Order: sequence, then structure tokens, then C-alpha cells
Amino acid sequence: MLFVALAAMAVAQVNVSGKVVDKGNNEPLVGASVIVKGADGKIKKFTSSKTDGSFAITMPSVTACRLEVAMMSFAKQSIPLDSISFPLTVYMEAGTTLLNEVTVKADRIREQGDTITYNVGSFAQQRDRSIGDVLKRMPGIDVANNGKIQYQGEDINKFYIEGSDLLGGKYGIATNGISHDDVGAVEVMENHQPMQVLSGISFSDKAAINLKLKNKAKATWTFNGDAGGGYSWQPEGAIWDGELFAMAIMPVFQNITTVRTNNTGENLSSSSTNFFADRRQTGLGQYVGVALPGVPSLSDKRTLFNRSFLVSTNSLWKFGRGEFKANIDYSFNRVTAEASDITTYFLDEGNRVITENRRGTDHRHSLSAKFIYEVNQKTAFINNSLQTNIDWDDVSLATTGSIPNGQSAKLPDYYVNNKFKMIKRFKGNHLVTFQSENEWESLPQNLELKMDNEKSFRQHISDHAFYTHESAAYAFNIKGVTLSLEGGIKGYIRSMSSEGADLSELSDLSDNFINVVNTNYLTVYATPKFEYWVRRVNLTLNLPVSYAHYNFDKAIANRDELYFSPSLSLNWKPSNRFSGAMRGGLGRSPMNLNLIHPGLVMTNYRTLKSGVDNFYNSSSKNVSASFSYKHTRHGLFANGMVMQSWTNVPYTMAQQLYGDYVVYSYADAKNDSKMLMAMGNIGKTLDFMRGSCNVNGSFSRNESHLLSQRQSVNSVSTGWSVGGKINGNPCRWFSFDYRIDYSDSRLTMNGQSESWLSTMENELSLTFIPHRKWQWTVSGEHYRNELSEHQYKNVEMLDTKVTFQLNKKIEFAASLTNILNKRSYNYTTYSQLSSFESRQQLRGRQLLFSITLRK
Amino acid sequence: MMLFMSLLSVAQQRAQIKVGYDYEVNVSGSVRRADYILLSGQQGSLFYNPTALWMDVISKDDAARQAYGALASKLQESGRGNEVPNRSNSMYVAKDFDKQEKTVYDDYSDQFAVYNEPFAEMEWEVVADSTKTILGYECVMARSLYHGRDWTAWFAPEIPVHDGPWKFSGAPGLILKATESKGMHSFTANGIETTDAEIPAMVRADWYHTEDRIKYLQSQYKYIQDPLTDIMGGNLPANARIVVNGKETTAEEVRIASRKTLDSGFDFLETDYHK
Repeated sequence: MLFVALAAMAVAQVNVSGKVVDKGNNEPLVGASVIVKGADGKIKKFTSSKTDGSFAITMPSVTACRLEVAMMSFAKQSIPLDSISFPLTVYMEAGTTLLNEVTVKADRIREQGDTITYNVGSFAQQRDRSIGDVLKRMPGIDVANNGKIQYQGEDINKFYIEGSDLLGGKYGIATNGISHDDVGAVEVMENHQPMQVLSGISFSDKAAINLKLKNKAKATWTFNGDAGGGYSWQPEGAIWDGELFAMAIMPVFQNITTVRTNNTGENLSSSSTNFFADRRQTGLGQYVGVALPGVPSLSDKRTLFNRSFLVSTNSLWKFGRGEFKANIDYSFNRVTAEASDITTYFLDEGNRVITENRRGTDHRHSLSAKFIYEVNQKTAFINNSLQTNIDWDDVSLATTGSIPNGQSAKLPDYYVNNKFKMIKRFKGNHLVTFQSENEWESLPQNLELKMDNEKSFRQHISDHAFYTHESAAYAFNIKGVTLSLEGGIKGYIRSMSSEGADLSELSDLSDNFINVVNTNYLTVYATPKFEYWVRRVNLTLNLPVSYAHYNFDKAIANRDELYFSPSLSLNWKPSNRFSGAMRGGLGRSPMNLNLIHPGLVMTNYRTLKSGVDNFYNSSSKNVSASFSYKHTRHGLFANGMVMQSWTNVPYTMAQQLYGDYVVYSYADAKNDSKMLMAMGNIGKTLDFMRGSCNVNGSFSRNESHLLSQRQSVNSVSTGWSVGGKINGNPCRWFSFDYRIDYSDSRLTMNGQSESWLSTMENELSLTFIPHRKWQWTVSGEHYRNELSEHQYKNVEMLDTKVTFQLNKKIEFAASLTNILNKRSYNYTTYSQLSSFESRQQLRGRQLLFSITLRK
Repeated sequence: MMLFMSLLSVAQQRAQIKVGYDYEVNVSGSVRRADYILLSGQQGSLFYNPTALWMDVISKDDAARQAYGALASKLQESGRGNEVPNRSNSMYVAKDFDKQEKTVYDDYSDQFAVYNEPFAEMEWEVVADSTKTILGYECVMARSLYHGRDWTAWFAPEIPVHDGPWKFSGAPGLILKATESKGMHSFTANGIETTDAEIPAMVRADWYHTEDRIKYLQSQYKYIQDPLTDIMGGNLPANARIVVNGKETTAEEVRIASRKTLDSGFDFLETDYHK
């Protein structure tokens, strides 16, 4: 190495000289940077240490100067030169070299064709634990509060781990469980067609996510877990939070098993929700509606009084051309809630106060099992999935006040389905598809009502349905045009019966509470489909037509109906940065068959429902346009959507009061509504601080016109929202996250407008890393909810957490949440003649100690 | 990238610092840019293009190679051939600080060359009173006449790494920017991170054979003058389809295009091969 430093020679100079030595072994250090900085912090002169560790710099003066010595893997030394004599020995201590880091662009987000690769390491912040925490920071990817993932405003259609679809729609298990440190990269595959056999024949506008694991997490079992215990001030008592996560991702076998439990207000539903679940075609719905009192609109961890447990085990075996998967989950959730409403009427003879307290408990056990066999090849696709879901939901709710009572509902749900699909591709571009789906569900409902006067009522509903659907389709592709025709038959058998309490003793309601209903149908249908691909444009036209015969066993008159619901969509991708789509459709659909019941059904202690007298069809039209833009080099992602829809429903719900009871029924009406919705989202990486930011906005306007019994009601609800978030790691010892959401809404009825009501939510979290083993996070939330015009309810919440990392495998943490110990969410609104006070409970202060282990 | 590095079986030394560079070639106003990354450690460093490294890694894996082929033909069919990841920027420079020697891997068309060069061939003259701030670091100017071009580099004395983009090294601090006097070639750092990632070994060292630097550059220049003659030895079949960046073209157009490049004054990073 050879370079010439041109140093001006002058008289009366200071010779800054010395030696750089490794403090650990007293050996000289070669190639250390030796810099003299002036009082202004600017570099005055510099050199590098020679092979014997020596350096020499001549300076006219060293007044207010500092000597800085730096070498990679050593802590930087900074020495004031004012009263130092030379030669000087600078001892360097092994440590981290602190640099002002700026993320390397090429590595953060990369693009290969339709695959966008996000480097996990360059988005993770110190306080992140799971890969889900990091996904939230990646521009273009959005993770909703419930764990659902969207890419450029559209739900993803698959979630893979190392290219295998182990979890199906329950990918929350992976996003919550897999440590971000085990994932090298997140790949987003745009326009992903999960069935290889359809590639090039059927267009997909959805994206899929694939986690690429680091080598250390592959071909071996990885474990991580944490266990915590502590004390809570409300509910008073001991708290726990534990989690165990095991994963094996091997070439022929994969498994993810997780066990989680807590009573700290953490909602585990994000780990047990199937985000890809299809709507059940059995179409059953609960008549009984006993719900726990509502909680304030704050985050779950502030309002959820729970005891939750979840275990999930998922395995995948590959053999031959196919793979077999088994997903088995069990969860238990006990939630309690309590609320009081106090209404005060200001009367001349003194105030009259009415208090209503509600206190309830919900126990829910869920067991689900899914077994899938799949062959996914270029010429053949076979999938059979057998699934069962069993839920036991017991709710009890005690109400005091004007009608004191206790309600308890037992609402089990038994569901089984089997879906089979086979697609064969032959002669390159001909496809034949066979499908068979069978579903069965039973939804018995028991409601028991105990009134204060010792009287009690019972209602039992039995409701079950069987649905079967068989279809065949043929498709072929010539020169970019795909034509397909699907034809099939659907059969549905349902029987419902209910027998219930006679309430005539309590009110003048003497209608019958007995129902025996059968709602059956048989549908034959054909769906011609036309797809046209020309370079960067895909045009799809769907023309489903069906004929249905409904048999209601004399409950109401039988019907024969013809349905036609055409839709057209156009996708245009002129470059890999931009894509746009336009869609439109119209259709007619039958009403919900659950509304057919001649007798009354009790929903809860004061509401009853009576069924329809007629069969109704509703019709709708919709048009929408959307676009997405990305510039991966600049880490810029944007998308926008606007949609307008029109619906026409020929009936409406009416309510009638019988004493203390409300009876809902249906009546002929002309009910037209029009909805406009627009939303947009922009995300950008902030490389200078290893961060990212996001801005989003939405607008909606829903206008409805209801004409019923010669009464006309026009209502318009308008709402808009804006939000933003930003996170970054501006220096080694500090990182932050900030989020703000603001929304405003208004309702107008027959030209009379209520005032705009807004809500605002701010969340800030600061993490300090004073030492590489220590981490301290302070975070807080502020909510401002407008209760009535210019009357605001403000709530502030403050949390803190200290983490000590003993080594790469063991970590200790102590956290204190809700430091200010806010225990209730109370507010009062006033009108001229009365005041209304609402009291709801919040989780109080909570202290938790935990240990985290990784393997 | 971490991912690909970990795929390599040979135990490698670890980097201490990762620097991202924009390499820009400006030929009469039209600028082509490419990403390069420098992973620098105690004993050595590697300067590489991430796409080239990715392609070299997948070239060893049958499944990945097939997936790449499918991707390429899909993009080609939909008229997006210019988005097919390719090795058009595939230079690698590996430096060995103990031996004070760099190994350069370069290729064009189907010619792969490797040669060694001692650090001593490059000498820097520091222009201490010229400074500039890059990525928040105060940088000092240094100049070097190197293999036919007059280079100006900006290095950060505060980053104690005697390394830089491409073949540059040996300044008393990390070189964050380098430009040459014609304004044609430049390297500019776009990011800098501390890291403990492994420095990848050359994945396809087997493709390269030792060659004299000057001879290699001379033959590359000849290739640029008439790429097709060079490929087919001048015997291009009459029915050959020529596709450049996804667009069908003719032999004549290719010749015109390369002549245009050379007429506009384009030349390589090193120009001392003109004898």
C-alpha cells in the first residue's frame, strides 16, 4: 500500500505521533484510521497506522483538536489533544465499530420478473420478534389488526413457507410464531396462479407470499418459546403469558406446532382464523343473539378480559407426485365483559335514574381438523380436502335494571365438508375439470331466560342443512383466447324447527313460538367464460346462468327462479411498475332462506323475530376501477381503488313494540341504495434511517332510499379517514414507530344532518439500546373519540418494557403495561331532558416478567 | 443476499461492512446504471452484482434453473423481455488484504476471464483540502492515474476500511465515490451497513480461465465492434432469430447499434489496452 500525504511544512509545528495497540494482547494494530479533528468536528488531517502500529501527523497547532482512532471490530477512541504529550500510545478495545448506517438499496427490495423480494434483515427493528412484526414494515404489504395480509390493496391468495403451502389460510400461526431472525427473505409473487395446470390459461390478479428461510432454520427442528408470569391490578390477580413454537421445514416433511396461552388481553384469534375460508354453503345462521356488552373502541389488549389457550399442529408429507397435509387445531377462549348504563331523566319532581348493569361470560371451545391430499403439476391437479369444525359456545349474561334477568345460551356448531377437484390438461391447452363438494352442518341453539320474578323460559332451535354441488368444466385455449364452459347441479336440504317459551304471561304477545320449516332447493347452472389475453391485457367475461327450484314445504309458496349474473373485467399491465383493472357486473340473488319461519323466534330477552311471508330476490350492479404502481428501486408502492355499487332489496325490516318487547318483522318495501367507496395507499422505504412510511386514505358514501308503507326515508352516511405510519432506526441505539389514524363520519336522514363525529388514534413507541444486551421500550397510545359534537373522550395509555439478552438463546424481559392504571372508560352525554352515562371496564396496570428461549 | 451466501458450502470469512454502490455508465447523455455490493472483512472483500451472484447460485440448482427458464419465457412472451434478470453486469473483484492482491473475474458473451493484480498498481494522491459529504460522511479527495483513466475518488477517513468499489482500494478510508475525468464511468455509494454476513466465494469459478488483462480487453473490444461475427465466427445462419432485450431485431441493426455505442465515445473502465 502506498500513498502520499501532502502535508504543508511549516515552522513551530506539533508532531502528533504515537502508536496504536490492541489492548487485549498489546500487539500493534496496522491500518487503523488516525484522524485529527478541529473544534468544529471537521477533519483536519489524517493518516493510517503503519505495520508497527505507529503514526505521525504534523500540525501547526492542536488547540481544541481531538484525535480519533478507528479500526473495524474495535471501539472508536477519541482523545482531546490540548494537554497531551507525544508520542502517545492509543489502546484499542475490541467492540463494535459504530457507523452511521444507511441501508444498502440493492438488497432491501429486489425484483425478478413478477417476484418482489424483501430482505427481512433490512426491515427488522430491534423490538421485533416475529416475522409478522417485520411484514408490517414492508411497503406494499399491509397486515390488518386481525392478521390478514394484503399486497397492494388485495388479499393474498396463498402463504407459502419454502414454497410449500403448509398452513392454508391459517398463516397467522406462522406470522405470529416464526422468529424474523430465521427468515432470510419475504417473496411476493404477483399475479400468482396457485394451480400450475392453469398457468397461462387462467388469469390471477392476486399475489402470494413465500417465506425463504435462512439455512440455519432449514432441515432441522427450530424451537422458540416464552413463558411469563406477573400481576394485574384489574382484573386483580395473577397473569400468565406463554408460547411454544416448533417448526421443521425439510424437503419431504414439514411441521409447525404451536401452543399459546395467556390471560393478559392478547387476542389469539389471529392465530386461529382461516383467512382463505370460503363461505359455508350450508348457509345456517344463529337466530339467538346473546352478546357480551360491547367494549370501548380501544385496542384489544386494553379491553379484552380473557383466558385463552390454543394448540395447533400442522404437518405436510411429500411423496411421489403429491403431498398430504393434516391441520389440527383446538382452542379455548373465556371472555368476560361488564358494562353499566345510567340514564338520568331531569323531571320537575326530581331526577329519575335508571341503571342497567350487564355482566357476561362467554366460553368457547373450537376443534377443527383438515386433511388435504393434493397433486399440483403442469398437466394435472387433484385436490381432496376433508374438513370438520366443531364449536361449543356458551354465553351467559346477567342484566339488572328495568327488566332484570339472566340469559344463558348454548350454541354448539357441528360442520363437516369434503371438497374434491380434479383438473387435467391435455394436448397442451385443453382442460377438463371435475368438482364435487358436500357440506353438512348442524346448529342447535338453546336459550334459557330467568326473570327476576323466578319465571323462566326456554327456547330450543334445531337447524341442519346438507349441501351438495357437482360440476364439470371444459376449457381450451387458442392464440390467447380461453373459452370455458362449466355446468353443474346444486342440491340443498335444510330443516329447522323451534319450540319456545310462551310469553303471553308477560305481554300481549300470543303468537305461536313453534316452527317446523323445510327450505330445499335444486339448481342447475351453466357458466360460459371467455378470457382474452393480448400481450399486456387480459379481458375476462363471465356469464353464469342458473335455474333454481325452491321447495318450502308450505311455509311459503314454492318458487322457480332464473338467475343471470354477468361480469366483465379488464386487467392491463403496460409495464412491471404499473397495472390497472376495471370490473363491472350485475346480478340477482335470492334472499337468505333463514328468514323463512312462520312462527316467532326469540333472539334475546327483549327481542323477537318473525319471518317473511314472501320469497324475495335482491338485485345489484357494481363497477370498480383500481390501479397499482411500484418502483422497487425507490421502495415506492402505491395503489388506489374506486367502486360504485347499486343494490335493490324489495323488503325491509320493521320493528314493533309490545310492552317491553321488540318484535322484528319483514315487510314489502322499495329499498334502493347506492354506495361509493374510494381508497388509496402509498408506502415508501426510508433508507437513510432503515425505515419505511405509509399514508392511506379512504372515503365512503352510502345513500339509501326506503319506501315502506307510504313512508319514505332517505338516509346518507358519509365517512372518510386518513392514516399514516412511520418507523425508523436513525441511529444504532434508537428506533421508533409512530402511527396516526383519523376518521370522521356523519349520518343524514331526510335532509336532517347530524354532526360529524371524529375519532383519532395516535400510537408512539420508542426503543433505546444503551448496550447491545439491553433494550428499553416506552410506548403510548392516545385515543380521542368524539361522543357528540365537540365533546371528546380522551384516553392515554402508557407502557414500558425492558429486555436483557443474556445470549442468542436466552432473553429476559419485564414489562409494565397501563402504567397510569386507567381502569374504566366512562363518559356522559347530555340532552335537554336527560343524561346518559356509560361505564365500561379497561384492563388495569399489569406487571409481567418473562423469559424467552430459542433453539 | 444473506440467503445465497449461506447456500455456499465452503467455510468463508465474514464481512464487517456492506456497502451498496450505483455504477453508472454515461454515454453521451444516456445513463445505464447497475447495482453493486461490496462486502469487506478483515482479510478480504468481494465486489459483486447481486443479480449476477443470484444467477450464478441458481445455475447450480436444477429446480431453480427451471424456474428461471419458466420466468424468462413468461416475461419474453408477455413482451417484457427486458425484465428478465441477466448477467449483463457480472464483474466480480475479490481482494486479499494479506496478499495485497486482487482477483478480477470478468466476462462478455461466452468468454470468461480471470486475472490477478497486485494492489501496488494503483497509487492514490490525496488532495487533502478538498472535501465533500457523502451519506453523511465527510470525504476527502484522492486522485489516481490508473490503467488509462484519470480517477477522482472520495474516501471517508472515519470509516477505517481501506477498500472501495471495483478494483479501488488502498486509500486511507473507505472510498464512497469515484469518477473519471471523461465523466463516463462512476461509482457512488448508496448505503452502508455493518454486518457479519459471510463473504461469498466465487460460485462459478469453474467458468473462468486465466487470461492476460490487456489481451482480454482487446478481444472484448473486438467483440463490441461486431458482436454477431464474434459469436458465430461470422457464419450467422440466414434464418437465425435475433432477440435483444426481448425485442426481435436483425443482424444489421445489431451492427448499427454497436457501432453507434462506439461512435459515441464509449470505452471500458480501463483503456490502456489501446496500443
